[in-house]
Amino acid sequence: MEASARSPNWTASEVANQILRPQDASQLAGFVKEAAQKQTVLTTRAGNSKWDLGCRGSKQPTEQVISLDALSGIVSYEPGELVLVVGAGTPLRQIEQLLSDEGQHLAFEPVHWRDTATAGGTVAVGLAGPRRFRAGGVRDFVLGLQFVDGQGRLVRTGGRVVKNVTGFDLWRGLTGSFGSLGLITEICFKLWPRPQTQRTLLLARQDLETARRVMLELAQRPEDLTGIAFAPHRGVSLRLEGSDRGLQPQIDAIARDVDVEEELPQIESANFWSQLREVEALRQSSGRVWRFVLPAGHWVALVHDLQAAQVDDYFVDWGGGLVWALAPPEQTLDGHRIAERHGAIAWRVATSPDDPNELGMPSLEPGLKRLNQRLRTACDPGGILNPGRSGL
Amino acid sequence: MDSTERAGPHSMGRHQRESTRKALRKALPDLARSGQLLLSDEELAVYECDGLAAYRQAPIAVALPATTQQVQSVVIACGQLAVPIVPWGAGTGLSGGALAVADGLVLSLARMNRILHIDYDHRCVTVEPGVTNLAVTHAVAGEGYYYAPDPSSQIACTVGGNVAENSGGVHCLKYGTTTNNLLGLQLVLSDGEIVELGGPALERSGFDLLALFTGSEGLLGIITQATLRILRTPESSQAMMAAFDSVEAAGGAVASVIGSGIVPAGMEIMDRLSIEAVEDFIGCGYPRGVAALLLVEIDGPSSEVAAQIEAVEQCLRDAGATQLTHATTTEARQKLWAGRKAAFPAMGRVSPDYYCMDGTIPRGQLSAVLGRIEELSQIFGLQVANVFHAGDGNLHPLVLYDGNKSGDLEKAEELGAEILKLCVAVGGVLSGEHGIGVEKRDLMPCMFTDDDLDLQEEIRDTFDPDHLLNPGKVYPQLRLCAEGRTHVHGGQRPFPELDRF
Ligand SMILES: Cc1cc2nc3c(=O)[nH]c(=O)nc-3n(C[C@H](O)[C@H](O)[C@H](O)COP(=O)(O)OP(=O)(O)OC[C@H]3O[C@@H](n4cnc5c(N)ncnc54)[C@H](O)[C@@H]3O)c2cc1C
Repeated sequence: MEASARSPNWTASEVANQILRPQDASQLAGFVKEAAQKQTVLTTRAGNSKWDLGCRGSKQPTEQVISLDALSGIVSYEPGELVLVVGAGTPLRQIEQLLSDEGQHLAFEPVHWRDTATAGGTVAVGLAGPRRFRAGGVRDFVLGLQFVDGQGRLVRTGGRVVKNVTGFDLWRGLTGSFGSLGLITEICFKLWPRPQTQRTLLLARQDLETARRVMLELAQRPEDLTGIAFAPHRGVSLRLEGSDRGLQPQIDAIARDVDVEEELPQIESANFWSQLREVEALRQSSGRVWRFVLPAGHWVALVHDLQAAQVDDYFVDWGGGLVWALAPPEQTLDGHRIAERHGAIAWRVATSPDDPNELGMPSLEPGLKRLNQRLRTACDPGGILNPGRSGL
Repeated sequence: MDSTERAGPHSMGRHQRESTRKALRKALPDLARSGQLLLSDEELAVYECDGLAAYRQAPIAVALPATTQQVQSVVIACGQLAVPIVPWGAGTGLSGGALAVADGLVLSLARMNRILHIDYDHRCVTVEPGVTNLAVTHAVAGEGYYYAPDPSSQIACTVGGNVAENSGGVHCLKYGTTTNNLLGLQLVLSDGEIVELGGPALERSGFDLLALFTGSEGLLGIITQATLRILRTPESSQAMMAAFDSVEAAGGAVASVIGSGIVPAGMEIMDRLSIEAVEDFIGCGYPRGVAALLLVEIDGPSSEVAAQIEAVEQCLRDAGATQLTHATTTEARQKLWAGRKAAFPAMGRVSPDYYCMDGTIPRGQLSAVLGRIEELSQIFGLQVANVFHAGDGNLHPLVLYDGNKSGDLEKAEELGAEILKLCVAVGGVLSGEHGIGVEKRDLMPCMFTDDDLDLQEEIRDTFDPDHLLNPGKVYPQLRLCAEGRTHVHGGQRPFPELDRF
């Protein structure tokens, strides 16, 4: 046991508390076993880069913070197998550097949010970037996990191969569970070759309804479109990825059908989508950030509701399936109610480490909630792992 | 082998069977009246086995509901009467997943076969579970779409069965298996509750239960609807066939294609035995006398396909391809694939019976594993043909045997088990796409620890505490990795240099 260094994003009370910092998975399992016996609630983190996502709730009297950042390191990397196994605390930056040297990447485009993001946090939160609508989400690129369940058992699920139907797909269930089904210690990712190059096309501005239609049509085109976004001040933007030779004919084909105003070359294109992925502009403004995931055709209706509530700063990603919005500081927006009307789910981003963000996650209808609780009870009978964080 | 015993410990006398049937008839009067409840031995014989024909067991009854509400009433009635339920799609499963249990009811979803809704804006289709895999593609092909997972059994197998098995096909490396192409489900749980998961949005609130239910082999709930993601038909598809002097060389070519940064839509390897059998069977123009064939398919935008096909050709030549055939037209491409798709039936002509295995291995282990399979084949005195989804490492060794010869089936099963343990030992898994079912359940401890299995079974218990749904499948009755059966040579285990987990 070892007290960790002070982190700028932790509240005073958290720093005052001793923070456990297990050095390996079996030590972590020991801590959890002990906590299960004493009914100590455990709150976990690694890079703490996503402290503002999920609910936090009020502090529990027996809460113990565990940092998983020491479970770090590349366990195995076989480029020819398109497979990478890493410890959960491994920094995302390190992974991306390693893969980039081999011309590979995590195709779901992990969202860093802050510089300290780790592999485990990426899987636990499950945020995917612009390519989501085309390539799949975090769940689609995790092949297996090792984790500690709520009874302190060190468990393996999945494997290191793409095709695997051996037992329940628990590893996908843990993806996006905010650490409330198990504490992830090791991850096996499926990798993808990195496209040689990319271009971004900025289309002439259109009214919302036209933009919506155009985006739906674009998503159905045969070209390798891996980004379709919209912002009110900029209009529709597209990303194409592929080989040097293969890309130009595709750009030409698109330009025959839509009004392309500007083309961004490779580096500018990459920067454009990374800013979008990281939600930089909205997160740097003061106010309350909301995230909505919804059927791609419904975003304009949702935006009208947001505008009616004086929320004008927003952008759209995933071909229409994702909307990020910024409510002004003085505005108390009920994003969940708006979301419900459009078949969306909403997340609210906390504004400070002291913000309990009780409304951070949507509430589930009773039947679905019971079902979720059954899974949680099986994985964590005492309810000690990050309770409430996922909104359940 | 006593196959009834494998289906579960239960079995009841004739008298008890009749009284349960009577109780079912009484509990489900509407179904009984409309011919949706089969109770006579002749009618039940059809449901005696699924695609794994070596295991046989007739159910006590078959229900053929036509609506979700009827499924619900069957589940509730069976719950009250403590009659176990085995869900049934088309019965093409290859692991005995749909094998009846002696005192149980088979719940066939075959009559729920409507396509409910096609939404091109959100590129998804909602279907009932009895719709066949190919029917989904047929429903949307006119608009230029298709459903990507394409098991070779796609004319017959159902979407419900595909979801329950998380089925794949030949295009998994690029397009994923069923789970990666599924957006929503409606299910009836063991207590009769109807739940809806997911929908046209890409993410949902709460835990990813959709993923948990996919591939759960009918243990967690009955699938009554599924919303599937459809894809735009690629602008261009081209295939290439390359012959090699050894399976190892073909495996090397696969590694070099992937190493060059290309993800083909499909890559399949066939060995000599399979190639000759297929040529004898349908004569699709495969070269004879070669050790291995590699089929590669590239799809995507025309300009990209053109660039990639050149690069692939270079890789194949560098890897020692002795012959190269291009298929640029749809007809030529289909002809190349026809041979691969006929590989299983072709074996039926070479040998009275065959037993299809389904392990997945890391691609780099291919030559080591094939070498060892060859050794095992000699030890057991049974021939093994190999077809291989090379892109994703999914191996289908076909063990040839004669069921009429006493002891042959047992030998085939034992050889099969050795092959699967070998897959696990080199870092692979017991099943790539056919599921665990009854066939492989007792091998589960080779891959999982007690803690791993405990947690999985505890999850099952919270959804189905009385084990009403598909009892006796997936999870072992006895937690031993049947290690006693490993054939030891000169005191060595296979691959002593490799870590076991
Ligand atoms: C010649 C041949 C080739 C094959 N090729 C492939 C291949 O390439 N790839 C591949 O993945 N598989 C393949 N298979 C295996 C098989 O076709 C698949 O597993 C298929 O998904 C089974 O579908 P089915 O409708 O026949 O299901 P069944 O065999 O009837 O059932 C399979 C399992 O699903 C459960 N189930 C069925 N319907 C439901 C439901 N509605 N709700 C809950 N549980 C349900 C059953 O209880 C059982 O456990 C092949 C089989 C054959 C015979």
